[in-house]
Amino acid sequence: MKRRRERSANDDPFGVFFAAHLDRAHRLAWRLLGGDNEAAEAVVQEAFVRAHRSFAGPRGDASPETWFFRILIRTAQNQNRWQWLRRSRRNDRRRPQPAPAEATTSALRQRRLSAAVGRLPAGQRDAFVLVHLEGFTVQESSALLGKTEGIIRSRSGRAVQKLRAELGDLARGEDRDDEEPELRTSVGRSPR
Amino acid sequence: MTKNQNSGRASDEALVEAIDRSYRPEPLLPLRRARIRARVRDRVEGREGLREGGRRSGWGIVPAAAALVGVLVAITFLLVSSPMAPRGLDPFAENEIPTSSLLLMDEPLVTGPIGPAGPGPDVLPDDYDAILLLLEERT
Repeated sequence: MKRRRERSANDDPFGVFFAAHLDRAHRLAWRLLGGDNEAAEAVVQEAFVRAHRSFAGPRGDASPETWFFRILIRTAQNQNRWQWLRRSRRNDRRRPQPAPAEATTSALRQRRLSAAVGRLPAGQRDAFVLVHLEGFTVQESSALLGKTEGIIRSRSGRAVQKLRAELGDLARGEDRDDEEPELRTSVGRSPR
Repeated sequence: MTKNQNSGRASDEALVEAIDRSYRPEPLLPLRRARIRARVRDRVEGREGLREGGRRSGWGIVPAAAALVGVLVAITFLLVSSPMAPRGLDPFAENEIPTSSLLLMDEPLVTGPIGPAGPGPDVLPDDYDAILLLLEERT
């Protein structure tokens, strides 16, 4: 049994695909789910299981990566809806609260950034994560999210506006300390 | 593009860069990778088992069987308790004496009440008188 499993992990095309995409899939799921580790793992597992169901089947014109990430994003969106429903049944619709603005240590700053992204509306967060953080083009993001390119541009732009309003001091380096001098640089990514 | 627009754009890019560095999960350690891989493999093999004819049926079959049994019990109960269900004749119920048998008789069978309080439909009037005489003699 063990030998069979090892062989299937190395020779099976799906095993190779799994190993090649696991890290990116996990990071994307984690970002789409607002930094929830357990939910991200569950979504990654579910997406790979669903992908395996029709891995050898027809995928239309989509590349395997686009096809798989579309499955992953839909699974993450479903998970987000369930989490929202569970929270609303518990009357706990609070979103992550911002860390105090005077936070200066690296960990607090990270918490503040994560909370700000987590508070974005789901559509804006998805567009922002795909276009600005994961490096997909607007066209690819449009195909992945099933929205027009105009909507993707608009949502990602609004997300940046909101983040700038909330975290502008970080970008300007006002509460920067010596641990993170890179916040002062301006070598960010712009949407392609 | 004005100087202000340039600086705004650079500021946005710096902000996105900072978020990109901070808003990311811890790298997957080999143990976690192996755990995810094992769970995916187990679930995928479970699916394949089901496709091959239930060789690895798993626990999914148990709730399905329980639900089927429950449905059958409910249907049986509804059929039995339905007012349309056929019932046997109650010998003690007054209204359930078949009238057709009374009409076929030459003379009226009984003069008294029918049922447990009376002598019953198959006792002829002569026998009834004889029984009454016997009872009177005894008392």
